Amino acid sequence: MMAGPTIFVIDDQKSIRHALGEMLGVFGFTVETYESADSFLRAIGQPRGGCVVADVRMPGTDGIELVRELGRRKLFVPIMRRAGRSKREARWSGVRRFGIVSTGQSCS
Amino acid sequence: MAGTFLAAYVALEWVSSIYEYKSLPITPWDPGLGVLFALIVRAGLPGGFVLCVGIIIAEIFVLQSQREWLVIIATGAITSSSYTFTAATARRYLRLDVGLTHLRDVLVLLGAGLVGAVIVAVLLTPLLIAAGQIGTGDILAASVPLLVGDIIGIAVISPLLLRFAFRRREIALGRLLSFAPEGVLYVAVIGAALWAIIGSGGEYGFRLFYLLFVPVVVAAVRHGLDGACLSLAVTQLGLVGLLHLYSYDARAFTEFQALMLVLTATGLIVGVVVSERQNSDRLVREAEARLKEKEAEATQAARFNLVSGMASALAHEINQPMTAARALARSAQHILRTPHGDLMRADRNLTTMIAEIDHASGVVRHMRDFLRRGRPHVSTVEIQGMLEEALTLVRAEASENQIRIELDVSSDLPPIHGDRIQLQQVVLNLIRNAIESIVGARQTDGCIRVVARRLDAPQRIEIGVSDNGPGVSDELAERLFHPLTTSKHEGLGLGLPICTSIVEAHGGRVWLQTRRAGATEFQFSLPLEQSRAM
Repeated sequence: MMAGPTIFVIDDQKSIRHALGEMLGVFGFTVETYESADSFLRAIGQPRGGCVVADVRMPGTDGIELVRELGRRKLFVPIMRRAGRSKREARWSGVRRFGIVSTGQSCS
Repeated sequence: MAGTFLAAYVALEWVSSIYEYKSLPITPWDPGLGVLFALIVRAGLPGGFVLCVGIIIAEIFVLQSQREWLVIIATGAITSSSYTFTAATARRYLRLDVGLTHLRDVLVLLGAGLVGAVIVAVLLTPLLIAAGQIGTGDILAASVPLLVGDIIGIAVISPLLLRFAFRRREIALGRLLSFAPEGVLYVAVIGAALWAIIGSGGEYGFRLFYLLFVPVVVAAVRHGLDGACLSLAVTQLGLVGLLHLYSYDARAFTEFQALMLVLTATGLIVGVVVSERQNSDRLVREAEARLKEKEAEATQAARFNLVSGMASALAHEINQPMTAARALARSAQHILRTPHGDLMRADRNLTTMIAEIDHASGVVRHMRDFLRRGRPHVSTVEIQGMLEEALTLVRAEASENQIRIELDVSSDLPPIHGDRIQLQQVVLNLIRNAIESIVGARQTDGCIRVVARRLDAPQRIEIGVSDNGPGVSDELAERLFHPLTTSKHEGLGLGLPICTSIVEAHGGRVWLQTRRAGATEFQFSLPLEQSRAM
């Protein structure tokens, strides 16, 4: 794997994971895709440059838990979330606390 | 309105005044009175005034009566007030329905006419005697034809007018024309019978009178009171015309009119009984149609309720492939804009993108089919496909709540006859109930299984929906299938009763197989033979 910033795409939906990964890849980013926050957290050992694009609602550790966990581990990766489905998720308290990038919209 | 009736009355008096008895006009039948009696029954007192004025005008101008003014006015007043009185009595105290929908109404109408005519005869005779117009020996000769003429006029004309002129019924021209050949036949038969009766003359003619019963009764049986009224009017007109043509005397005329009275009473009574029967048949049919309509509406409403409950999940289910498709489109676009881009990769992206769009439009299509308005539609339903389609609508909501849905359909299932959408409604209802039960218990390991099996004796397919939710309480199980029962806070509780009515319409039944926590299962059966058409 080449060095440099990596985009970590985390989504339990295979079609989304694949499409986002494909697009970002075509645009020249290094992309890694994970089907759950847990597998991502297991795979990522030490701080690495890059950012995370994650779904909020996922089985196991959800998006909000993921942000908290990354904060706990001091992994300051910016996180872009995909649009949430409820107001509670849209507000997403974690965003401000960890100073994380939030686009508030589906990836474009 | 009043003017029209007045003119009609005077004209009819002119037409029908044929004989005189000692310079006393004896109308052998009085169609004008029939017209105005209908008006009086319908409109009350104003009709009475029209009759009074009409009588006076007719006496002076049509009959050119030489009687004293006082006698003429008294005649008008007595006649009109008698009929107005009996008509008012019939309407107020005997509750006469002017639409003549029941046998009772026809009898009351005829009775009112009869009583009115008798009162008129009883009151007018002394007046005429006092005025020196007739002697006491002429009472019968003068009053009987008067009585018969008045009654026959009322019996033939009044029901006809009440049925046709006063009821604003939409009589479609096409429908009317379709009766034309039959009408011509009636007229021909009546004409032939009349010709035989009148042409053969005298005593023999009377004996042939029964021939007229045939067309009148047939018309009454086939078309109810309307047919009776029309055929009677035709018969009476023909009879009067021929009697006049063959110069029958007043005595024979009255005898024929007495026979005609019997025919009229028979025709009207048969007609109204048939009409009553037809009416009640129609009402039953309409009520059945309305009930069916309401059932279809309730089922439809329940479907909307089902889908609107899943709306946000369904929106997500449609949005998801769109998001993927957009990303893939951007990716393909970027490749195409890059010199010497990897066209194979762009092609792969586009292929995947098409599949994503197809998926989204499939969800939309299924949803639209499911919400489609309309009557139950029976077709051949293949169970596996039907269940898979139903699952596309509920999968999003299940995965949103981290519930797995498993589908297990045995491979030997024959297709059944039924309404695909309604069967999907049953399955979706059961699955949604399962989802809500799992979500209500805040379980995170939810699992729903949909199983379809073929069973023998009797040949049937059983479809079960089981979940590992908290089960169904004793108390809820008791009243589960009754309307307006729900264990959900926001639910309408319409689900299971509608499932029951749908499945029963397919000849099957729905039941709660097990209700333990962790193993709740609803099942329904669909018979393979004699799958009833709905």
